[in-house]
Formats: sequence, C-alpha cells, structure tokens
Amino acid sequence: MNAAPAYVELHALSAFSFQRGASLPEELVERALALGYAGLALTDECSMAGIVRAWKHARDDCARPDWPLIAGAEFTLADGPKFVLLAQTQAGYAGICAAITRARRNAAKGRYRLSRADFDAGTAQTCALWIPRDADAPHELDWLHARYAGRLWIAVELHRDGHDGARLQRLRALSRHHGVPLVACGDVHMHVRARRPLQDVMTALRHRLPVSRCGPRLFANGERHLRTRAQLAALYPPELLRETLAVAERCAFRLDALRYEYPRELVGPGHTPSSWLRTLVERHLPERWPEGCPRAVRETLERELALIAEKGYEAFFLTVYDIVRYARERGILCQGRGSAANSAVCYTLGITEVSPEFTELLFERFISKERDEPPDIDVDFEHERREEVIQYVYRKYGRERAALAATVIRYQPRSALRDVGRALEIGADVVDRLAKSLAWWDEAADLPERLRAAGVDPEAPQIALWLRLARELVGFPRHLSQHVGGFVISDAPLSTLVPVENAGMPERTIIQWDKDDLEALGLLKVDVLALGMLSALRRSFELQRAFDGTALQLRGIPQNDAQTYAMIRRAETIGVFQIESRAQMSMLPRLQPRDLYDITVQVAIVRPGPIQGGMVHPYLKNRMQALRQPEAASSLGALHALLEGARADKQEALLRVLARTHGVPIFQEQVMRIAIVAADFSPGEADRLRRSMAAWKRDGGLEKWEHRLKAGMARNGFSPAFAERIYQQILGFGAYGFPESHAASFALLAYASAYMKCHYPAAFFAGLLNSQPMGFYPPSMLVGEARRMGVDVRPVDVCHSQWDCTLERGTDARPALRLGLRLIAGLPAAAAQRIVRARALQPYRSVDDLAQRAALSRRELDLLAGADALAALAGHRHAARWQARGHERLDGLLRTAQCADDAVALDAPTEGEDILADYRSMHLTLRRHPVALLRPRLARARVTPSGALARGRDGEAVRVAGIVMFRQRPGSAKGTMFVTLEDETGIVNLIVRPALIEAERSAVVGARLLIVQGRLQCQQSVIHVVAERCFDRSHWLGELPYLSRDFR
Amino acid sequence: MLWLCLHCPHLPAEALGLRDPLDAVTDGRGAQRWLITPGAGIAAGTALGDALARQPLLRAHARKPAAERAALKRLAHALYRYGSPVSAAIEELPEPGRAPRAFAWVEIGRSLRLFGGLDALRDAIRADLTALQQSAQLGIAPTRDGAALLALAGQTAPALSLTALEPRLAELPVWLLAWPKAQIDALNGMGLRRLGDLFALPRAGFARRFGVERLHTLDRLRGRVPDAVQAIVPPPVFRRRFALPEETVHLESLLFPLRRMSYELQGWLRARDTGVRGLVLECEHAHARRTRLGLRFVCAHRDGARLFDALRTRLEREALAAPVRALHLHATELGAVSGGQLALFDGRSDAQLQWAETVERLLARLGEHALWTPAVVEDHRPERATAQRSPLCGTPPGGGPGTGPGATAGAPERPLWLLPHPVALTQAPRVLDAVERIESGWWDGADARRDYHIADAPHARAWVYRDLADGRWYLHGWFA
Repeated sequence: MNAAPAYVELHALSAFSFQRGASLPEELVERALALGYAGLALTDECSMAGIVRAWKHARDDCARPDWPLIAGAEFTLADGPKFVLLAQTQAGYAGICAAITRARRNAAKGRYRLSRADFDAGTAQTCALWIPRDADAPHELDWLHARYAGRLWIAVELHRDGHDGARLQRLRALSRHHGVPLVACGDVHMHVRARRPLQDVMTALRHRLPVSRCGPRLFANGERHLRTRAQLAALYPPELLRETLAVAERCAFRLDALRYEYPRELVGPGHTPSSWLRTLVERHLPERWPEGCPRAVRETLERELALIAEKGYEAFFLTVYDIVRYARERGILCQGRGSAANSAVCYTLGITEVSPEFTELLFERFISKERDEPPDIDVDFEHERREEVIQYVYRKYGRERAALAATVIRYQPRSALRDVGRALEIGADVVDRLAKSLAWWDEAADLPERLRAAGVDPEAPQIALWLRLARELVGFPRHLSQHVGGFVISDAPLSTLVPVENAGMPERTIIQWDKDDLEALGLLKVDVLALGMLSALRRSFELQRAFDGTALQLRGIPQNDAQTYAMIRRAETIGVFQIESRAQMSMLPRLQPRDLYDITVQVAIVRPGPIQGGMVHPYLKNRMQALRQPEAASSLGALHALLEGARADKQEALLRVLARTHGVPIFQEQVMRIAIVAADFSPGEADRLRRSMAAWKRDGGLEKWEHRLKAGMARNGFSPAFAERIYQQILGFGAYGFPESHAASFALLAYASAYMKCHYPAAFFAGLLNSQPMGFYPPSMLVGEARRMGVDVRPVDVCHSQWDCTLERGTDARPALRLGLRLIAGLPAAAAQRIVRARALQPYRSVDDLAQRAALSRRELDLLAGADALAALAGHRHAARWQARGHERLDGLLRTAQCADDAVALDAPTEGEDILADYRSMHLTLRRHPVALLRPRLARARVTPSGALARGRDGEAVRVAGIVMFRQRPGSAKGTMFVTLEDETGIVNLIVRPALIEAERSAVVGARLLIVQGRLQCQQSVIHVVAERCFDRSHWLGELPYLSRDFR
Repeated sequence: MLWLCLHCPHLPAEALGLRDPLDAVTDGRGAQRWLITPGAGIAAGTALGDALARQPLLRAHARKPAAERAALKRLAHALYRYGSPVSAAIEELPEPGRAPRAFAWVEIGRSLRLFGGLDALRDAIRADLTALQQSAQLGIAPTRDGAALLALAGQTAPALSLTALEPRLAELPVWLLAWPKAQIDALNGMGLRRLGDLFALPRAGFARRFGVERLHTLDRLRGRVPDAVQAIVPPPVFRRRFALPEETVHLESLLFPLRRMSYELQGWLRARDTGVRGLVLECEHAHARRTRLGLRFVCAHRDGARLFDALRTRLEREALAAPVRALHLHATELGAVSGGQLALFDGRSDAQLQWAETVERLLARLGEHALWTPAVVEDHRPERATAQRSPLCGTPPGGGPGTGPGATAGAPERPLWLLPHPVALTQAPRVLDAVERIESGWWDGADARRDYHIADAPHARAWVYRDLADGRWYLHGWFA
C-alpha cells in the first residue's frame, strides 16, 4: 500500500446528494482515511448539508482534525456545463454557499436552478473541475476557462466502461488545445463497492422506476466507490494522480475557520454590547424587586454578567431579549426555558419566570465556563401567535441574515420499506401490511413467522433482498425539513456561512445544517417554539378579567397555594399542563407534590428515559420514606450503604448531587454531574457524554464512556456494583433524559394552570376550549371535567353564543360557561361573526330572520340546526333541520320576500338521537352520556360503572364497559396497549397485554364500545384494570333507539 | 309488468374470480380505500386500514369495473331465456364507505305461465345461478326500482301489484336509496327514516328541500310514472355446420364448404360490426369422433379470404385422422376490429395487415411455440438486453425490429451474435482492448460481475469476459 501513489479524492457525493449518494459523509471520511488518501473533497450536489458531519467525524471520532477535508459542491447548469467547485479560502467557501443559496432559493423545496447567466461572474477563490459528459462540446470548457483561468482542471473519471482509453485520449487532446490541466477524479457515489445495490435503489427512486426497468439509467458497474490507491494507479497515469495533491494544496479552507457574529444593531447608541446588557438589566431590576434587589441576587447577576462578557454572548442574550420584548408588546404570552434561561439575567430581563431564589436549588444554573457549550434558551410562545414572532424575526433581520435550522429527515423502517419496496416491485399491499405493524423489525428471531403471518414467503429471495436493503437504508438522510423553531441569526449575510434554501412552507427559509451541525461549530440558535397552554392561559386571564375585573397574569399567580396542591395530589389534573396524561395522573397520588420542586421532578420523571432507566420505583420508594420520616438523611440510607468504601469527599459530593432527588438521578444535569464528581470527567467530557447518550440508540458508541466511567469510579473507591448501576441508568436514560432547567419552567406553567383550574375553573376551561386543538384530552372530556368541578356549562345557542366560549352570569356569583359556535364542526368563523354582529343590533325572531340578517347559507343553517343551536328559534332538532333546509337565499329585491312553505309535523328526536347528533356535530354532549342509556343492559351483563371501581379490592375480578377514548402503545411498554374507556361515571384505564391483543385483535383494535373482563389493580389509589377478555359491543350503540352506525 | 331483480353483492369479487373469504375487493378515491365486498367477517364499506388492523391476513384487490360489467352482462344474457326485456345496471355510489350495487332485471309477467308459475320460475333461475356460480339476492315487484329495493333488503316474497308494493316499500329504511350520503344524512337528521315517512311528506316541501328528481324517484318506485328500460339483447352466436355429401379424406373436397362458411362468417361479422379473433373448426368422423382445430388471429378481423386462407393452411398442416362427414365452424372469440383495417373497404393495403397475415401464416404452419419476436429490454447485462415474446401477445412491432430506446451514441460495442449461454474457456484468451466492467442485476438473483474484453480468435473477434465471482473466462459472442 505504501508503494501506491498519494491521492486526494476531489469529487465525492454523500447521501446528502439525495437519491444519488449511497454512503454517509462519515463513512466516506472513515474509508478515505483507511485507504490512506491524503484528503477528500465532499462535493454534494448543490449542497453543504453533509460537510459538518464529515468534518466532525474526522476531528472527533477519527482523531484527525488536521486531515484535509475540502468543502465543495457539484453543479449542473440548466444550459451546461457540469462542474465541481472547491473552496480555496473562506471567501471562496462563502462564494460557493452564495451560489447554492441563489440556486436553491430560485426553485421549489429540494430542487435548484442555475444557468450560465447566474455564474457569469464566476466565484472568486475557488478551484473548478470540469466534469466532461459524453457528447458535450468543448464550448463548455471555453466557457469555464473564461471564468476560472489558472484554477480550472479537466476531471478525468475512469470507470472501466470500455471507453477509458478513448476518453483519456480525447481529454488529453482537449487539455493540450485549451491549456487546461487534467486531474484524476472518482465521481464517488459510495464508500465501498458493496453499496452498489443501494446506489441502484437510489437511482431507481430518483427516476421513479423499479430497478429492473432502469436499464441504462443505472451505472453499469460499481466503480464509483473509494478505490484503493493501487487500483487507481492501475487505471490513471501517475501525473493525473499527482495533480490531485496540487489541487488539494490550493484548497486550504477548513471548516473550523468559520466565525460568525451575532447581530450588532440591538445595542443602544454609545454602548458596547456589554454595557448595553448591563443597562437593560439595571432598567428591569425594579420590576422584579421593587423593594430593592437582595444581595445574593446582586452577586449572582454580577457573576453572570462577567461570564457572559468573557464568552462574548451578550448579543445572544440581547437577541432573545428583543424577541421576548416584541412578544410582550403585542400581548403574546411567552416564557423561556433552558440552562441559560434559568439565569438571574434572564429572570430580570423577563425572559423566564423561574426566579433566582428557586434556581438556587438547581444544579446547572447557567452556561459553564469550562465547557465550550453555547448557551441554551428556548422560548415558548402562544401557539396560535408564534407565526407573528417568526415573521418579526424575518422582518427585523431580513431573510439574508435569519433562517430556521434544518431538520434532517432520515429513513425510518417504514419509509425505507416503502421506498425499497417500490424499487424492487414488492406489491403495494405487502408493503402496506408489513409497514403497518413494525413489531417484527427489531426481533429478527421471529421474523420468518411474522412474514408468513403477513402472507409473505420469508424464503423468497426477493423478500430477503428487500428487507436487507431496507435495513441498510434506515438512518440515511431522506430530505431536509425545517426545525420546529430554531432560528439562526447572524450579523453578516447567512449565506456566507451556510447555504440557505426554501422550506416546504411558504414564507420560510432554512439553512442546510441541523442543530447538531450548529452545535458542532459552536453556532448559536434561538428556539422560537409554540405552546398551546400559553394561548389557553392568556385567554383564561382575559375571560376572567372581562367577567369580574380580576387582574390575573402569569407573574402574579400566588405561590404555594394549598388548595391547588391538594387538587394536584388528588390527581384531578385533566387539562393541567404536562401533568395531565394518564401516566402522569397515576403518579401524582404516589409522588404527593407539595411544592414547585416536586412538580419539577414530576414533570421529568414520567418520561421514557427515567422509566426505562428504572429510576421511577426507587425514587418513589425513597420519596415515600422521606414523607413518612421527614429527616432528610433517612431516604438516602440505602445510598449510603452503596457508597461504602469510596473516598469521603467524593461520597459527600455525590450525596449533594443526589440529595434533592432522594438518591436517584432524574435529570440530565445530574448524570453529567455524577460523571464529573464520581469519575473525574472534565465538564467538557461530561457534555460529550450527554450527547453520546442522546445518540447511542441510533449510533451506538457508548462503550468508550462505559470504560472511562467505571475506571474513574473505581479509582475513587466506588464499588463496581454501584458503578454498574449508574451506567445502566445512563443507558436507560438514552435520548430521553429531561433537563432540570426545562422541567423547572414547565413546572411553573403546570402550577399556573393548576391554580387557574382550581380557582377559576370556568375561565380555565373556556380558555382551553378556545385554544383547541391542544393538550391531551378532547373537548368532550374537558367539558365533562368542567362540569364535575361544578361549572354550569350551557349549550351552543345562536341567541347567546359567541364564536369563542364565553363566561355568563350564573345563578350564583360564579360564572357559567357558554359554549361557543367554534365547537360546531365545519362552521366557518366568518358566519359566526355575522351571527354575533347582527344579533347585537336586534335579537333574532325566527330562523328566516336569522338567515337573512346574518346572510347564512343553507349549509351553515344546517350545521347550526345539527348542533341544536337553533332550538330557541325553531324547536327540536328535526324541525330545525327541516326549516334550515327549506331556506332559500334570495338576492336583490326578493331578499326579504318570504316563500310560502308547507307546515309539517315531525317527530321530536329521542334522547339517544339527540346525544348522537350532539357528538356528530360538536364531538361532545351536555346531555346524558351515551353509555348511561345502555346501563340497564350493562347491568344485566354484570358490568361495574367505572365510578364504583374505587370501592373494589386489588386483584378482584371485574367487568367494565365504556366508549373507547384512547388507544396507546408506547414504545417503552413492550407491546402492552393502554386503552381508556369512558362511561357516564368517569374513565377507566385498561392494561392490555400483547397476548390478548393477538388473541382478540379485532375487538381490541376495532371496537368503539367494549365490555372488558379483567382484574382490578389498585396501588396507592391508582386504579387500572388488567384485561383478560374483551367483547366488542359497538353494535349496541347502533341499536340505541333509531341510531345510525357512525358514532364517533 | 312484473319484474324479477337479481342483486349481486359479491359481483366485484366474482368478476375477479375470487372465492376465498380472505379476498376482498376495494374501491378508492384519492388516498382512501375501502372494501366493497364483505371479506373475513368484515362488512363492505369498512376502510381498508381498519379492515387490515382487524384481519391482517385479508387480501385486498382493486376493483375492475370492466370485469364487473362483463360479468353482469353474462348474467343478463343468461336471464334472457326467462323473459324480455332484460336490463342490467351497476349503480355507482362513489362515496368513501359505499359499495356499488349490481342489478339485473327480467320482466317475467308474460312468461310466468310458460314456466309453470312463479315458484317454478324462481327455482329454475336459482338453479341457473348455482350453475353459473353466481350469488344473488332476488326481489319481485311490478316496478324495476321496487324489485331492486326488495332484493337489496333481502325480501324474497313477491309484491304482485302496485297496491301490495307500496306498504312493503314504506317499511324500508331510506338508506337503501342510492342517494348521496349527505341527503340520506339530512333525512335521518329530520327523523325521516323509512320510505313511508317520505311518501307522507308534502310534495312541494319535499321537492324544495331535496329536488324534483328525488320526488320522481319516489314516484317511479311506486309505479306512478313510467320507467324507461334500456333493454339488453344478447347477440346470437355464430355456429355453422356443413354436412358433406359423402365421407372424404381429401382436402380438395373440403375447400368448398370451408370457403362458404368463411364468407358466411364475414357477412355475419359485418352485420354485427365486430371481428373474429378465435375460431374452432371441428371435423366430424364416424362413431361420433371429432377432430378439433383451434385457430387464433393476431388481431380481430372480418376478412373472408383471410379466414379461408387460415383455415386451409391449418388443415394442410393437420393430417386428417379419419374420413370427414361434416364440418362445424364456431366463432369462439369476437373482438373489435382495429382502425387500420376498416379503411378502404376492409382492404389490406397497409403494412401492418401484411405483417399480421405473414405471422398468421407462419403460426398456422409452424405452431404457436415456434415463433417469437425480439423485444428490446433495458439492462446492462448483455444476455438480458434482448428477450423473446410471443407475437400473439400484443401489437406487431411498428417499424420492424430496430434500435431500442436504450441505444445511445456512446453505447459500447456489442457483438452481432450473442451466444444463448456463455461458454467457459479453459484458458485465458489474449485480449485486445480496454476492459468494460459490468456489475448489474443483483435484484433478480442473477447478479453479473464481469470484465468484458474483445479477444483475437483465428477467424473472427470474440467477445469474452472474466467472471469476477469465480475468476474464470467465458466466451459470450462473436463480432461479424
């Protein structure tokens, strides 16, 4: 191998040239290094999306930060030629990015458009390689030569197609004639030859043809991989290989040279960013501490400001401040979270509501000095008004300087099966069936059986090929999409840093890098996120203020309200932020939250990470013990025993880390701190451990940390058993560990919404209903919960309702909740506004009067009739529908003419009919629950109402029944399904084991009304029923008096 | 008038030859697909996704409306012997979750006595349905729509008069009507659930809300307005028998009857504006033995001379086993005549026709399997780049065999004669030119990985390759 000539590959495409490249950038780098290449140019087609990964892989995983990784891109102009540009300097790199940006912004998402006119000026400080195609004229070369003289090469790409000799001869002649040197290139599409099938699949997908019909569109052979230098030496004249080094030498630009500045215009006149940030902090201090700032807080502030100045992060804080200030001015509720958000500076500036007194409790309060990690601030905004904020950012900085980060959409098993299936002509129904349930994907053992069950022959070679290639494809990038809200804003045009392209949504632009790329380069992003609960809370505040003048705001909510905590402990949290899901609710009575920190823990603990890491039960046990014996140390007793033998100072430090969570790590920050304290990790290493944790499920690679962690802990005297336990908890944590800094902000909102629910239930539920869709529960359950809390809920009525749900004077001092016209499915908001406006002038006398004055169409009237909203004008639903349908809208002179109509006497609907019509129109009813009508029948079937289950014994055999509200099959539950049934007395949660799902699939998956026989499970006043038999009784709903079958 | 109606809920499956309960036929609109026949205990109308969730083994087939129409037409033809007029229709309800309804009607009022009364007639029809393997529900009423609704509702008891029909209809649910779902829902929403509820409404008020057309539907149902029937008349078949004056083994003496029958067929085909694609000629021998000769044409036509030509050639090839007593000609397969043939009075001026005749002559002489036509297939593997195909499969090649779409200017050189199977060489040949590497075909189990070269042989240039899998050399073709 050493005798082989040196070589740099200058033309290589990765999988980020979508539907062309068949290897990841990391694979290309690793292979090129293994083959002893002296460098590699990553030249994806009109894209820089893969370059950061390649660079990071060479730097971190291959430990070759100095290895020449050249940034470049391949272009095919609409009017020819095809060529590769390589960056010589940062200016050259910026030029390529600008060209890509131009090309991408000119075309729809995922495409690009360039013509010679766009490149007329050429791009400075780049090297150009002309990629000759068969049958093209030398005028292409002339055109390039005129723009890239002295830095232009003819790429000679030999792939054993039978014409290598002739091609070399022809290009040599061209080279002599035009005076342009030749250079060897590989037109690399994959890192090894073995990727040939996958590469063919890519080609097939690009042409939307099955592989077998692609013919000459496929490459004739697999030569387009990174070939060994010996192979290259056999194909290319030595001087052509040598020339690659000459080109590479001129391309000295490396990615780590990228620097960027946060926008500077946010600084007041005559100020530096540092002095301006200080000025703003001083300006806002009195708002937070009207009686003067406590000394401890003042000290914290000084410390933070000094650190911000040292790291040069002022502009970042100023940017976030500016966005939040804009939202405040427009009355858009928002709240920040994240490690940097929970700083005294952010609290003072109003970015977050987590006060420094509370943050004293938190570990990683702020950016750490040693770690070179960018500060993390996510800001949540009202979900329906976030777009205003996004457009403000675009307006303020311009599309040249602000764009959203990308999200790389990768192949999942499902999409891989579909795409490979298409290329291999696997029948659509077979693909559908296998892709539908992917339980078999991870269990190779029972795969043949699964396939046979799906009607597929596992022996068939075509099937084996399909599955093998699909597995290979999983994890490959498929396309770029937009990040949920991560903005990158820069002082100079972004396109000098990274190409910008159009997103799928109009009015959105994204950069070609995702958040990992940004993080690797140390670039800052501001997350502008949407949160439904903020919308709901603002509306609740406004409704209550309009009703009785109570001035409520997020800041002013009384802390430590005993009634609110009591309600939370009773798990009456339907509608409350974050702690409302079934899993959360089942935890509340056990965890017994008493203060904000308990809610912080509660928010973080009911997540896949802690559940899979086995943290929940140890935590609950210790917590319970602590509640019984409030001396702090007792719950840590077991931990003390485990730490036996370790160095005393380490023991103590570790106890400090784990004390507030009763000896069990719950938060991401704790895991990092444990690594630092117990295994002597540096903060930087701990941060890398965190990132590996997030990715190990996908990429593996946690082993080196395992060794490092266990060795470090052994050195400090910790027992191997304890080290193993910690390591296992880290593994389980995986990608799902929740940071305390986020949980604390969420806890605030959880408490605020619980407080509103507890003290202002009518306003709270009206706010929630007006912000739908959001949260965990459908409107029917929210309305049911409101009524359980004693709220007088009144039906939709054209004579009273607004578009939104509103508060009305009730019979006592408490407000009643009037349902709004918005609940009527399909009714346009504009129609509702006309109804409200015309009603304000004069009440409606009849359906005709309503129809005329509110200018309603027959369809709109019919929707109102269907919701029983015409009851006051037209009587029962049947009569209302008859009248609505008879309405004829006349224009001009005839507008007020009444058409004679026959009177008919229609039967009034039965209760069952009305209930179902309510559901059909609004997905909820204020009448009896449908199951109440079936109760006599259910009683004969010995079914217990769910409200009566609390009186049962653990392990008792029971029968329950209800309408199926939810079916969930979380990944963390090993195939178990959770089903929620609702009857007129409440809800009951079922646990359905996989065996039962298999046995009674049709009933479990398909039924709308279920009778379930099972065993009661009561633990700490949490009730489940473990299902043993399921009976589909959906037809009973259809048999309610005169019911049709489409109850939903 | 008394109409017997057959409603065939399984027709979409039967038309596709599906009998297994796990097979279900689906219809679709946009991305939605739903069952239109019941399958494995899952009702028609169920969304395919839900059906698969409940019965993962279900096999879904897209419906083929043309096949359904053909199947229904066959049924209608079979009904023709029970009375006339016969009519048939497939009511399409192209809304998600609704299945098409296939009906066939026959007027039996006038033929009741002929068949010995209603019960006997019904039994005969049921026996026919069993023979045809056709499932159906049956309804009898004085109006076609009335009979159809009774059939749909599964009410086999006949309604023999309009006065008897109306109360029967009044009890039926409105969702049986083939009206848009929105209107059915609207009716239900007003508490109007049975046809009787609709009959009772004021006519003007009903028409104002649901349209005059719906009012007419209700009137037609009850026989209050006449019903326009589009009758189906099954075509007679072409069967001719020609008894020879005396037994013969000589072809010459058979030519006369052959020619005569050929032109009879031509006249028959012209009268019905159709063409023939397949024929059966049977020669009757002593002791009721027969020789059966099938004949197929490349395309349907109605040219008497061509028919005769083909029949004669076929008889020439077939040595007669025994003396012939009679000839029997049966047109087994009819088909529309293609445009080119109709020009110039069925003349045969165009090249297509000549090509077709040549092929037919060769086929008649050599048999169907001896003849194939080359087809260009796009594939890097040389042995796959050509394929064989029967000339009866499709239209003859337009401009004769020529350059395929895959041929490009820069395409590598290919030998004139490609060996059907590469021949292994015992030693490495002396190769002339640069390598052409082909690696392709992994998807069909015949992955080729070869380095091709042109090699010098004593009298010609050979095309050889080294197989990269086993390292051996093979001869694959010769250049001219």
